[in-house]
Amino acid sequence: MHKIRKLETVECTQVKRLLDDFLSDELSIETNRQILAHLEFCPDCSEERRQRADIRVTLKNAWESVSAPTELQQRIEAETRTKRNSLSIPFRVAAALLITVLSVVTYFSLIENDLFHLTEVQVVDHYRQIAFDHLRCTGRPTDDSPLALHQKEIEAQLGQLPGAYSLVGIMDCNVEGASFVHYVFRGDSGLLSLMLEARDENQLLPTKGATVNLSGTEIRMIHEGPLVVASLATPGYFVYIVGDGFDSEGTIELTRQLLFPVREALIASS
Amino acid sequence: MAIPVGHEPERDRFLREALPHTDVLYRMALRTCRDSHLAQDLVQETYKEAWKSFKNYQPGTNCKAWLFKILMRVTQHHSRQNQRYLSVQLEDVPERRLFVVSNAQERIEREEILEMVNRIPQNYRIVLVMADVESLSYKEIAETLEIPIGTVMSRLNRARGLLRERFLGQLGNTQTA
Repeated sequence: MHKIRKLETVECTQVKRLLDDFLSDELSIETNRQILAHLEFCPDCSEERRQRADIRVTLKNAWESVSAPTELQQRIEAETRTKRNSLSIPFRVAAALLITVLSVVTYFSLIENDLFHLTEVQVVDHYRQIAFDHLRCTGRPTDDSPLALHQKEIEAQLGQLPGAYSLVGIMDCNVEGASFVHYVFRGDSGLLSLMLEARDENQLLPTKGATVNLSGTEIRMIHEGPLVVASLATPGYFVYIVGDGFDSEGTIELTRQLLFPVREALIASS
Repeated sequence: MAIPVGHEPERDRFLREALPHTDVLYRMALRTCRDSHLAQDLVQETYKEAWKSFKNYQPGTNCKAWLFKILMRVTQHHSRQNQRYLSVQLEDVPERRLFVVSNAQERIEREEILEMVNRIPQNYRIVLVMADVESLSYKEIAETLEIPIGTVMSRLNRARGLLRERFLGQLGNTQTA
């Protein structure tokens, strides 16, 4: 009898020691099962469990009775809006330039190092890597990811592109909180990136830089030369164009040839 | 032009995932600094930092735990700069309401519960709230506070013991009265 009483005491001590972990679902299935079995026949431990659960409920109710002032959420929302708008165009341009510079450097280093014995797939993968890594692309698409599916749809819609251009990848990208969809094309004249950023209605194109009219659309030349950065606004997007078309006219021409098929393909695939 | 497949504007995603935790962060900040205005500032600063580093947030992980971690950092930074706020009186206790402990049918006033929690040392109080109010796992708490999981468990054990002791003591007083 003494032995049984002692055993029960030990069990109760163990169960009480583990009761809070049990309530927090932090125990193994086996330990949970043993505790449940013990609670079935032990009114003392069962009462202890109910008491501890009640304390938690009471604490939770008391704690959650305080709410944040409604204006706090409004301030936070405004803060994120300010942050987004405060992103400077020069920063974005710098990031875009960095991509292209590194892409071009790698392009020529491939030639100089006679690496073109690589397979087409390897070269394209290399381009994709260098182009994407510098804009902190996230969500690298897997075979069945939405972006990979999107790429297949776009490719199907694009068909044969001029200048032997082909789409080598689409990625989600981030630059200091600004979110882009980044399309990279590769063709006869090198790389061309189109970076599409969702645009608020009140956001305008930068005021600096020459304006070029392209088939009725105003394009702002942010940087001209061998590396060209330009932007244009569509109703839903800002489009940043980064090209190494060797001169402005060449890049604009590539953009003219590629941007509108991309837009048509986007509309068709949506 | 439609938004490309699979791409939600980042700000929308941030607001959808992070903003619902405003109350949770505010309560924690309020119990830490005991000043409503300062708590709001700390929470706003937390969201500002969270928005700046949202690219580091892994979708599918516990957003609340991630925000807690930032709040802790912001609070510690502020605390180092200005120790005085700890002495500011609690001013945000709303009107008195009664809470019923279901089985014992005993009434414990909310302010008394919160005061019991406030009297628990801060290091213990934080893990108690994270575990028993906000339902974070021990592992998430350890990661959020950057302390070993064993420390989380020992602090929890101590905090729960203190609260239980005071809670039952209060119940006893109520019954006697």
